Amino acid sequence: MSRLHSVITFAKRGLSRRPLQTFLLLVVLTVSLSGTMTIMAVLSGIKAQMFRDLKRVGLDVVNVQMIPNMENLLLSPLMNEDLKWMHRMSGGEIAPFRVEMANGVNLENTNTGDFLLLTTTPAWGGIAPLELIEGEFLKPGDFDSCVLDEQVADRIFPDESAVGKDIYMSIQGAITVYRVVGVLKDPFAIRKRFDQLDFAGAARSTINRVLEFKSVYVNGEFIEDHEPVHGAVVKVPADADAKVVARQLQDELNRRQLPNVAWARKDWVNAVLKGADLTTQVASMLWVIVLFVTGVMILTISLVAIRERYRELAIRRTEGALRSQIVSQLLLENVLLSVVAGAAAIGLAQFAGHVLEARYLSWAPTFLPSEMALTLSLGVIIGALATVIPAYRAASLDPVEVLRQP
Amino acid sequence: MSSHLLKLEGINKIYQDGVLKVHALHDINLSVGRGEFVTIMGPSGSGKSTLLHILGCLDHPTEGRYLFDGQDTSQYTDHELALTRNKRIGFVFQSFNLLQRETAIENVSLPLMYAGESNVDTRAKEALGKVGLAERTGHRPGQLSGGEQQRVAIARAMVKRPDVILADEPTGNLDTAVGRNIMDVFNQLHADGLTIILITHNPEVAELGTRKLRLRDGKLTEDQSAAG
Repeated sequence: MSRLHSVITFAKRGLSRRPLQTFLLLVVLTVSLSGTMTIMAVLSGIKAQMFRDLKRVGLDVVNVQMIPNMENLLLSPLMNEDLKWMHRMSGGEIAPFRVEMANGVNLENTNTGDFLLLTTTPAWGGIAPLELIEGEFLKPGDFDSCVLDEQVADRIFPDESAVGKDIYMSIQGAITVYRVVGVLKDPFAIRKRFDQLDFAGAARSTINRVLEFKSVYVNGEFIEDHEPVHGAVVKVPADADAKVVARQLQDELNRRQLPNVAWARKDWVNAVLKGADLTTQVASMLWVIVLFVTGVMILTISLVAIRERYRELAIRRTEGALRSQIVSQLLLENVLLSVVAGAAAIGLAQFAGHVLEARYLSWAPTFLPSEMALTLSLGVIIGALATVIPAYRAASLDPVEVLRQP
Repeated sequence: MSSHLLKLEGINKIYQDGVLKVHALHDINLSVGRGEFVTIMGPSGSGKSTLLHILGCLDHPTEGRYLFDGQDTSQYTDHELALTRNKRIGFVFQSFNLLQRETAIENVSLPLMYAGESNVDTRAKEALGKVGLAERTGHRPGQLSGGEQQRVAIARAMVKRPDVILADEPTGNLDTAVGRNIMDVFNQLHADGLTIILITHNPEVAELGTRKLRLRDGKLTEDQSAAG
């Protein structure tokens, strides 16, 4: 029997003959590692889902909007005729829009909701990459139809298909009936749960809701040159850079002294992703803390557990065990434990991920093999580091002194 | 191979306990040949156990030389001392010092496994058979009587075929009848040619040795062979 084989045998016996201590360490390690894995997976899931969502907002689209203040909202200094130079400058398709607050009601179930009424043209459907859950987008000349964002449809028609139903809208005191022809999928799946938890949501700017895809779309006429508009979306040609086009449009808006901003959605996506990166980096400190606490717990348990084994280790030393064999045995015990705990943690973390997704999250936790491997490696390293000091200390004790104790 | 298996030359051992110095051994000179059965007697605190620990390479003398088979152990590293204990010295303690969570056979195979030797189980069973415990190999120390536990300890000491067995009060925790049985085992080991050094308080046990030493206040006061 080789010495290495002996050490492995002793380590296995060391674990199996102390079921309570082994179980305790296994639980601590498994819970800590699975907690770390779950945190990592939840954070990775946010990023993955955001990336998927953001790709759907249209990276080749430039928004031109008025700076949202009461004066601009009332005056709407941008005119229909401005769309002509915008079209010339960008070289892309353009859809103007006007926004106003509206209240809608479903007379069948009396569900109501405040939302943003976005009056635009059917060109909108060809500019923004809209994904329809059901129905279709607005058709030219159809002024009695509307398209709902998913969240509006969920609120007004929670238990049924919205397409084909009527919605009564109160717009500046006048009642208009629209027939729903389509429902647009909310590209930000990730925020569903966040929104439910967002108590401050009601206080947010209604203008900002344009970006939040909580609108009702209706057809409007944009014919007269001096008819005011609140903004436009521009689809940038394939050979042009949306950021460059946005800058050019902004320069021209400034030159014309129009209080509007032009911004590329691509820039916005980048800013959001950068913010998400920062957020996940800060949040990822959580798993560093979890691993640190794990290390401290293992160190404490190891210190106590190894101290309880001083006599046993002294007997082994008397029988000729080398210090290195003692340290190796104790280290190996912890490494074996870490590996078993790691395997159990993978299963537990997956289970926790499913539960979180089903009950609390609107995105799927993403278990990246690299992050799982990192967690397992850190678990083994932390376990080893937390053992090596008490193990070396135990192996260096004078066996005569230890055995002299009653 | 040296003519003397163990040789102590001018051994002194001083323990420092704070400002207090305890002179445990005074100028001990002793040679033990192969095949001897040496018993050491002396009152508590006379330095018997300290002497045994130095002989067992568990402790270093403060002064003097300890030659094990002609090799000066004061020059040994911790690694070499451990190897010497592992392969050449067997220990039997008053309190047995068995691993409580391991079975009899696992306790006996301990030194063989640390030495990386082969046929561990066979040799351990054989050793247990020699001390009359062939049927108790799977029992843990808690399931064995005191006498049986001491037999397991003896089997563990002899399984590696050591040059010497050092026994520290091996019958001290046993009743008279069981103690006699244990001494029978030591006698058998001696008859098989093993060198034995045994510490005891019991004059009856000491009489079984071929050579009797007496320690008092850390000094060797008597060295009497059976013939003499």
